[in-house]
Parts: sequence; C-alpha cells; structure tokens
Amino acid sequence: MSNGSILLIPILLPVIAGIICYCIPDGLRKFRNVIALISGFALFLIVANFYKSGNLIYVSNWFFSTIVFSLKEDSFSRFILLWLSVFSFLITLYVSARMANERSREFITYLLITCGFACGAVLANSLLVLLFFWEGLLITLYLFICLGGKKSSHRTALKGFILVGFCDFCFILGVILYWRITGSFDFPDSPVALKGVGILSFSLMVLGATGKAGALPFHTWIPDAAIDAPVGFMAFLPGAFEKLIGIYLLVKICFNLFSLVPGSGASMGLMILGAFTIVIAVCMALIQKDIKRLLSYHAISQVGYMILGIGTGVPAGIVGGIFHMLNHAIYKSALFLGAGSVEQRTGTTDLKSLGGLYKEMPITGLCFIICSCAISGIWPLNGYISKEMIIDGCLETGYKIFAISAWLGAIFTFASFLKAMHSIFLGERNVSTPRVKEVGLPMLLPMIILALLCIIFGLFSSIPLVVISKFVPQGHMLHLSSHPLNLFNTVSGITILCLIAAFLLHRYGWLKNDRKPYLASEVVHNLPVIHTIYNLAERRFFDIYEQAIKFVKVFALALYYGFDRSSDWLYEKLVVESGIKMIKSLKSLHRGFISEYVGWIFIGMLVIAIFMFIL
Amino acid sequence: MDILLLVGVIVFVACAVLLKDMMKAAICLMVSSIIMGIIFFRLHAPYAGVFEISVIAGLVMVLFIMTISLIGGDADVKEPPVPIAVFIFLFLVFSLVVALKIPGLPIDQSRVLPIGSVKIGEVLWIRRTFDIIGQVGVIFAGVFVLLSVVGARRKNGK
Amino acid sequence: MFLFIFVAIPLIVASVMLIIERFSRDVLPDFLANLCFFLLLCASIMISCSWPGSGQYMHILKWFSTNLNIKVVLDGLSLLMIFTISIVSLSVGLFSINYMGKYGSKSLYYAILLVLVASMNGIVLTADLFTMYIFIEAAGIASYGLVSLGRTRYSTEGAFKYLVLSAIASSFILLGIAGVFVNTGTTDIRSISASGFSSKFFIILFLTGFSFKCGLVPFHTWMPDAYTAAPAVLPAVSSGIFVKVAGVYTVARIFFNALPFSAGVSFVMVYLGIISIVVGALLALGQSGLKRLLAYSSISQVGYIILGIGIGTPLGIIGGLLHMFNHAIFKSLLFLNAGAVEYTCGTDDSLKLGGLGKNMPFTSTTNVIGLLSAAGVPPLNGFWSKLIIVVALFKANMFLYGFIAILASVLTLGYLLLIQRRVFFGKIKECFENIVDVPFWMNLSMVGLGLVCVWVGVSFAPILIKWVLPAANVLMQGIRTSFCALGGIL
Repeated sequence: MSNGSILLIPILLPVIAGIICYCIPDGLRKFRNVIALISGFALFLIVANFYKSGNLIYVSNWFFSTIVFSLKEDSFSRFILLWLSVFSFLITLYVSARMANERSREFITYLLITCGFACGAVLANSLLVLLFFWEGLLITLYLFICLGGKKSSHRTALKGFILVGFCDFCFILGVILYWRITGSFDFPDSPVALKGVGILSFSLMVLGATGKAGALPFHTWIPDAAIDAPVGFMAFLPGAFEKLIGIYLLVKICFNLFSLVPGSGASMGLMILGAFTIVIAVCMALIQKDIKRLLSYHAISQVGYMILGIGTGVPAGIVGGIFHMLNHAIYKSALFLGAGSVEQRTGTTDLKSLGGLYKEMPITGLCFIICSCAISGIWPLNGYISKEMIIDGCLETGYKIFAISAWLGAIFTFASFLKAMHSIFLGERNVSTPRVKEVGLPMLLPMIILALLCIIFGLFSSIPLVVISKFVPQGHMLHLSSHPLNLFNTVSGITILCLIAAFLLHRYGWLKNDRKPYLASEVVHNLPVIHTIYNLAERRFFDIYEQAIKFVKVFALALYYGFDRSSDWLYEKLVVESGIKMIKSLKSLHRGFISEYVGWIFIGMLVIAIFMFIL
Repeated sequence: MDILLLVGVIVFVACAVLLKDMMKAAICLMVSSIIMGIIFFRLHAPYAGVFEISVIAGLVMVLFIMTISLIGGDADVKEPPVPIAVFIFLFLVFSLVVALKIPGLPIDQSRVLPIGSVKIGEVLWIRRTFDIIGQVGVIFAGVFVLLSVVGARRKNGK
Repeated sequence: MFLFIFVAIPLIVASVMLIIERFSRDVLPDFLANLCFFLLLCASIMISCSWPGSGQYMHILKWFSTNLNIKVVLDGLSLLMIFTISIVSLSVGLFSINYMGKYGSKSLYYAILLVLVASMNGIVLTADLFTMYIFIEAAGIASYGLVSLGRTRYSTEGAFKYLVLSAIASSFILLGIAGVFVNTGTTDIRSISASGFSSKFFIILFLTGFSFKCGLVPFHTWMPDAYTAAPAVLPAVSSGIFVKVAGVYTVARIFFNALPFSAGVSFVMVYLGIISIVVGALLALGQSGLKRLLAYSSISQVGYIILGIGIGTPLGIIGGLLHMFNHAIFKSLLFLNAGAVEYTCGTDDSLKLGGLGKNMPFTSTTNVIGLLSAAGVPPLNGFWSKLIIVVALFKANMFLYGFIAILASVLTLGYLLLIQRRVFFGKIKECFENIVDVPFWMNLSMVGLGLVCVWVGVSFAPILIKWVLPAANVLMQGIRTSFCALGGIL
C-alpha cells in the first residue's frame, strides 16, 4: 500500500496548516489568511486527484500493533471529501475577510483542524479510527462556540459539548455492541442483518450520527449557538460540515454496517424521527424574529428531510436524502454567510429593525433570495429536486403521512423564508438603521459561488444524481427520468399548491399585522393552543438539556443533603478520626531510641521465625 | 607455634578490652583477629581463616573506626596500670591451663573440611580475589568517610 | 573484562579523586565523576542492546593469562539492576554538581558516591554470597558516610543509628552465610542451589537481615532518621537503588536462585509487604518534612515490590521487578525535588513552604510527574507496575491484599498531593518571594528523570520485554516453572 499513504494528506495537511496559522502572529494576518486559503485549495486539488487514482487503502499500526489504523477511500467518501474541501475553502475565504479581530487566528486554526478531523472521520476504515476523529470534532466544536465572545458563549458551548457528547457516547456504545456482534472494529464486507442486539446497536449509532447532524431531540444547542457563536461557525459546522459527515455516517450505518430494509421497523423509526424533526423544527423556525435563529431552526428541520429520505430505504428516497444533504450544505451556508454580511453591515440580525436592504446590498440580497427559494423548494432550484425525490420515496413506501409531513414542512419553510426575505431585503427601509454599503468581494464570492451551485444543481440535476446514485447499493435502479425531474405530475402539483398556500399565509399575516413583514407569522403564533406551546418552547420547556440540567440540579441538591452530608459526617467521624489516631499512635512508636529499634528488629525476627516454623 | 599464636590472640583481645583509648583497642582487636585467621589456616580451615580476616580485620574494623570517629572518641586517655597487671596475671594462669589441657582435646576428623594443605596467600589471592576488590571498596569507603568526617570536625573546631 | 569495568572504573576514579582535589576543587571532580557515571550508563545500554534475552555472561578475569579467579556473572536480573543503578547514579551525579557545593569537599563526596556505586555494581555482578556480603558492607559504609555529610547533630545521630542497626542486620546475614557455608561447603550461588540445601533457621536469618536492608516494617526504623538528616542525594541513591540492590535484589537472588523458594518464605514476604505498604503510607500521611515523608513513602513502595515478588507467580515477579525499576526512577526524582526545595528555601518542612511552583517551574512540574507516577496514575510508569502487581494478587486469589494495595495507592496519592499543594501550589510565602529556580544541572537531572517516568509509562512494553522479562525469567528458573512469552501473561 505504498501509494495509500497519500490518504494521510487530507488529514495532516489541514491540521498542520492550522497549527502553522496558530503560530503566525496577528501582525501577519494577511499572510496567515493566504496560508489558510492555499491549504484549503491544495486540499481541494488533492482530493480531486483521488478521482484519478481510484480506491486507495492505507493501513498502519498504532500502539504496538494493538490497533490497526486503516483509512480507505471509495467513491462516496471521495465525494464527501471533495465537498468538505470546497466548503472549508469558501468559508475560510469569507472569514478571512469578515473576522478582522484577534479571534480570527483561533477561528482559522479550529476550522482547519476540524477540516482535518472531518476528513479523517470520512476516510476511516475502522470504527475505532472513526471514533477517534469523531471525538476530536467534539473538542473543536466546544472551542468554536467559545469564540463567540459573548457572555453566554461558554454556557452554550458547554451545552453543545454535552449534547453532542451524549450523542457521541451513544455512538460509542453502539460501536461496542457492534463489536460484540461481529467481533471486529473493521467495516464489514457485507452488512449485518438488523436483529437482536443489532437493533439496539443500530439505534444507538443512528442516535449518534443524527445527533451530530442536529436532529431532534439533541438539537437545542444549535439555535443558542446561532446567537452566541461566530456566524462563520454556523455556516461551517451546523450549516455544512455536520450535515455532510453526520449524514455520511448515517448512510454508512444504514447500508454498510447494517442492512436497512424498506418497510422494516428500523426504517419506520428513522422516518418518524425525520418527520418529527421536520415539523417541529420548522414550526419553531416560523415564529423566530432573529434571522440567525430562524436559519438555525431550519438547519435542524432540513436534517429531518435527509433522515426521512434515507429512512425510506428505497432508492429514490436515499438518493434524494444524500442530494438534499449536499443541497442543504450549499444553500444553508450561503444563507448563514448572507446573514453574517447583513449583521456586519447593519450590526443587527433582528428582523424587526431591518428592511429594504436590497437596494444597498443587491448582490447579497440576490444570493440570499436565490438560496431562500432553493431551501423552500421552488422549481427549478436544487432544493426542489431533492425534496421531491424524498417525497417520492415516502410515497413509494406507502405511508402517506410522511409525505404529508414533508409537505407541511414545505409550507412553513417557504412561509418563514418569505418572511425573512421580505423583512430584510424587500419591504420598506427601516429608518432606524443607518445606510449601508455592499460587502467586499471576498465575502461576496463564496455566496455567489454557492448561489450559482444552487441554480446549476437545479437545472442540471442529473449530473450530481448520477454520481450519488452510484453510492447506494440499490441506487442503480433509480430512473433518472422519474417525475422529480419534470414538473407536471400530481406530486409536484401538490408541492406547488403548498407553496401557494405558504404565500397566501404570509400575505394574510402581513396584511393583518399592519403590513409589518416580521410579524407575518404571528397569525400562526397566536392560534389558541399553539400559542401556549410556542411560549413553552421559547422558554425552553421542551429542551431536554435544560430539563436535564434542572433535574440534575435538584438531584444533586438531594444527594448533597441526603447522602453526601451524612456520609461526610460518617467519614469525618470514622475514617479521619480513627486514621489520625492510628497515625498518631504509629508516630508515637517512633521515639528514636536505638535500643527500642533493636528490640523491634528482634521481635520482627521472632515473629518471622514463628511463622516459618508453623508453616 | 600454635600456642604462641593463641597467646598472641588472647593478649591482643585482652588489650582491646582493657585499653581506654578506643582507637588503640580497635587496632588490638584487628591484630588479634588476624592471628585468629592464621590459626584457622593451621587447623586446615583456610576459608574460615580468609573470612575471619576479611570480615573482622577488614570490615568490622572499618566500622569500629568509623563509629569512633563519628562519636568523636577522645585521643588523650590515660591508661591505668592496675588492670594490665591483673590481666598479665590472668593470662599466665590461662596459658598454663591451656598448655596443660588443650593438647589432650580430641579432634573430630569427620568435621574437618576436605581441603588439603594450601597456603594462606593462595586462598586469599587466588581463590577469593573478588573479595579483595570488595575489601578495597570497604577500605576506600572507610578512608573517604573518615577524611570527610575529620575535615568537617576540623572546620567546626576552627 | 568488559563487565568488570562496572566495579573497577568507579573505584579507580574514586582513588584518583584525592589527588585531583589538589588541583581543582570543583570542576574536575564534577566532570570526572559524571563522565564515569555517563560511561557506565553507556556501557549498560550497550550490554542491553547486545543482550540475547536469556542465559548469562560469565567472565573469569585474567591477568597476563594467569587466572585471577574474579568471576563476574551477568544475567537478566543483574542487567536490570545495572541499568537502574546507572540511570539513577548519573542523574544524582548531575544533580550534585550544583547541590553539593555547600556540603564540604566535593571530591571526597564524589569518591564516596563512586565507591557506593562500585559496591552496588559488585553486589549485582558477583555470584558468590560472601563477596556479595562484603560489597553490601562496603556500600553500607559509604552510605553511612553520605548520611554524616549532612554536618548537623542530627545527621551524625542518623548515621550512627543507621550504622548500629545495620550492623545487627549484617551480623544476621553473615550468620546466615556462615550457616550455608558450613552445610554446603561453598558460597557460590549455583553450587548452593545444586546442593539443594534448605534450612528454616538460616532462612529466618536471611529474611530478617535483608528485610532490614529493604526497610520493611518493623525493620524500617533506620530509614526516616537517616534520610531526614542527610543531604538529599543520599536518600535519592539509597532509596532509589541501594535499598533495591542490597535488599530486594539479594532477597530475590537468595530465595529464588540459591535456596528453594518455599511457601513459608512467600507467606512472610507477602505479609511483610502488606504491613509495610499500610504502615508506611499511614506514617507518611502524618509527616510534614518532605524527606521524612518520602522516606516513609519509600517504605510503603518497597512493600509493593516485596509483595509482588513474594507472591511468587510469574505475573507477581514481573510486577515487582517493574515496580522496582519504576520506584528507583520516581523516588529518586521526588527526593531530588525535595533537595531542590531545600537548596532554594533552606528548609524542607512543607508547613513553612508554599507557592513555590511559580518560581520553580521545573521542580514543580517534575514533582507532579513523580507524585502521579508514585500514586500509580496512568499513563505514567508507576501505574503499570502497580496494575500488574494488583492483577497478580487477584490472580493468586489474594483479593483482600489486592484491595489493600489499591487503597494504599489512594493514600499515596493523598499525601503526595497534599505535599504538592502545600509546597508548590497556592500563595507564595513572603519570605520566599525572591527565590530563583535551581541551577541548570539540577533542573537537567530532574527533567531527565521526569522524562524517563513518562517514557516508561507511555512505552512500558519495550522496557518490559527488554529488561524486566529476562530478569523475571531468571527468578522463575529458580521456581522451575516454565514461562516465557509476554503474550501468555497479558
């Protein structure tokens, strides 16, 4: 495997570049940015080069040959790697222009290291190696959120760390169970059937993978991070990277480690998880009045689509899910970057104080609108294709309810993005914010590229679909002439009806609330029962982390008084006092008289003699 | 010859007991043990002789001398004459008894170690050379420690 | 000839020291002594590299083709000891360059240290009980001398106490050797083993004598007094290697290779080990003086070694020997740290100290490494050996002792952390605000030992295979149980 060692480059190059960047002082910021960009671009070229060299394997031994460190690259991981490198390059470009403060050094370092670890996780050919890189990502996640520099940043970072850490823990448990089943940490040659302990292992691993991607119920740190973390982080991790590697792992779990059969219990479970994630998150997104929080809830909601698609287990659904993952990464990072640009110029992300920015920031506005349309699933953009394929997959399984939930999600998605577009770029100019200028080219370029990708993948969707359909074992059966690629059929008819409904909903809310676009969703918000639920949700009543923390606090208090204090008293009285007495008596034996010590020696000898002669 | 050696042993041991100056006493003991070793040789126990010389004459002596120097034995002690006279008297009595009685004692031939006649030098230098190295170490250690202790004492004295 | 240099070179250098003193008081003795230690370390590493892993090297020295009859024997166990002695002596030698300046003539000090090292090498390299005894005594005399170098009333008292008590123990050992000689007609270890001689009476004498040399409870009383009063290099050498060579090594040699290893010996060794572990740890908990605390800690740790070897199973012996090596490293390190603290602050009473960590970063850091290693915290070296000993105890169905061993290591962590907090952490006392870190050579030797701790901890497998397994094999041959591979025991 001499040429296999080239697989180490995607891991080592970003990490080393990150360390180098960390060592460069702030005075040479431009130089540092250039290094980061070059390394990002080099990574892209190297990964692209993998397409020439074909499937590579790298094997070496860790820790005295006890752990086999093996990396493998196949068409799917190559595809993910390519996109990882693209996103890290674009976001580096954006951040290098936007973050001029002293934190940019750390940000770029963490970004590159995260990139290296993510590449490692994607390339891993053994579950242990995968776990190693997977946990490494957890650490950079924490460091990233801390960079936000707000008062609550550390708290949010801890929250994210614990929630994702819990998911990772589930994943580790799943891996251990899997090891019990197959007796090896390697990826198996043929998938294991889902039965017995396998189901438990599968569910734990899925929990780990989807939790990383941000699905319910471990999503609650993402909206908080949207406020507390730097916007580049949001575009980078929750926007792009976590989806890419989380869904990559989910696909691996479903089809490489286990065999997910359409219509089975596991498939149903995944689909239910997906459907719930779509609906609940999108409902939360609808009422948000801060663009970053709104986007973050959508980041969660869109994961639901991917899980739903993959959970169907049918070719159309799986390919749709993977394609949706890619699409989501493209438009969601662009949206976050756009929100970041707006924030940089106006100093706020509150929808209420924004408005009519289109004239001042036309390119940002255009890109934002394209991406909003893409995420809402408007023909002919990429989001439309993947969403239709997912709905198609749901219908193919025979459970219409999942398709309905996807449509419901589509209504609210479009409604909330109508609200966002309307409040920020269209509508009346809010006089309270000062006049602004368009952002510079380095910040625009990533957005333009991503928006163009949205259009290209929508118009020429067959190119990525052909590539993606090869990853899925059953994917070859997919007919690329199937309906998502043409407009006129029942399913897309319903989708279009949904979009129209969303538009009407927005218009109704807008008119009802004195033509204030940011209040357009209040009609839904103020519905009788729903209002209460929303309020509870806003107060984090459904946040399992907050509830768990509350429970832990009460539990800890009970433990402190019930158990700790009482056992402490016992400890003080029994162990410490008797220990001190013992030490004192032992010490008092050592009086320093030689004659006594000689006596001890003889007594000791006597005792030894007695034992020796008895035995 | 044996008798002479025995007498020597007893004289020196008695001196060691009676002398007040510890350093001199120690040296007396050393001489007596060397004579003792020679006696062992003559009684066909060369190893016992060598060990006697190694341990008592070499090692224990160094220990004694070190101990004395550590506790700072006085150099100016007057030797009282009376004990010596008593000792000489006792010694004469003892040697008389020995001269009369000892030659008659039976020797158990079976307990004698099966070693033919060897020279003391041969056993000491050829058979147990490594011990000599050890002895060199012992003496070195003793000398250096003495030097350092004496050096320290001299400094303190000043 | 090559093996003999371990004894000859230090002795020669020691004898030259007195002449050198005339020319140079500091530099030349420093250089010469450390060069000697360094050469010995190189030589021991060279031998280790060419060591086939089993069997023994035996040289009978010749002088112009005349048989000198100096039989130097080196097997796996001796090799482990030689290696340990070389590492610790070199680091102590380096430490002394700066440290011993205020303790009188340096060349005399080095001469004593060199004689000590030569004698320890002699103990390890001889195959004759009586020669071993002579070297033990030579090393003993050198250590009394080092104790008395402290130059206070207490150091004289400590040295005197050590000497008197040690003389009693030595007489037991000598009596034992005499008994063996009378009954077998030889003092050569192989011949004794071949004769199959065994007598409970002499075993008792040996156990008593060597328990004293090991410092096991209740024969430990010399240790705290001697170590407290001496300059810190003595405890580092003595606890680090002398106790192992004169106590543990000889016990192992005699009871595994010379006399048959009986259930009674195993029983007594396990009990002595357990009692020492517990009593040593408890006594250490009650101390405030650094060196005194570490002396009691040594008692406790040597208890682990004797416990491991005393179990008599392959795993126990491996654990015991590995712990012997590890203890040599980390305990020397801790004593040197205590010496560094004493050097800068003039006292080693932890109650009077505080917050030195900021001004003495190297000492503080290496002390943390040493204490974590002593407490058996992974991934440092002490962890592995304690783990192996505890596993061996469990495997031998001695669950209670296993738990005691674990609890005592918690105690170890407790008292050492307490010291670390009192001395290095927290707020600095006003009187020590202006202290500076110790000079270069002291730092170098401490950092070196700390690195060895970490290195052994991280890659303990090579150490185990290279040094400890051959040594354990030598002992196991005594019990005539076949075992060899690492795979079988882990």
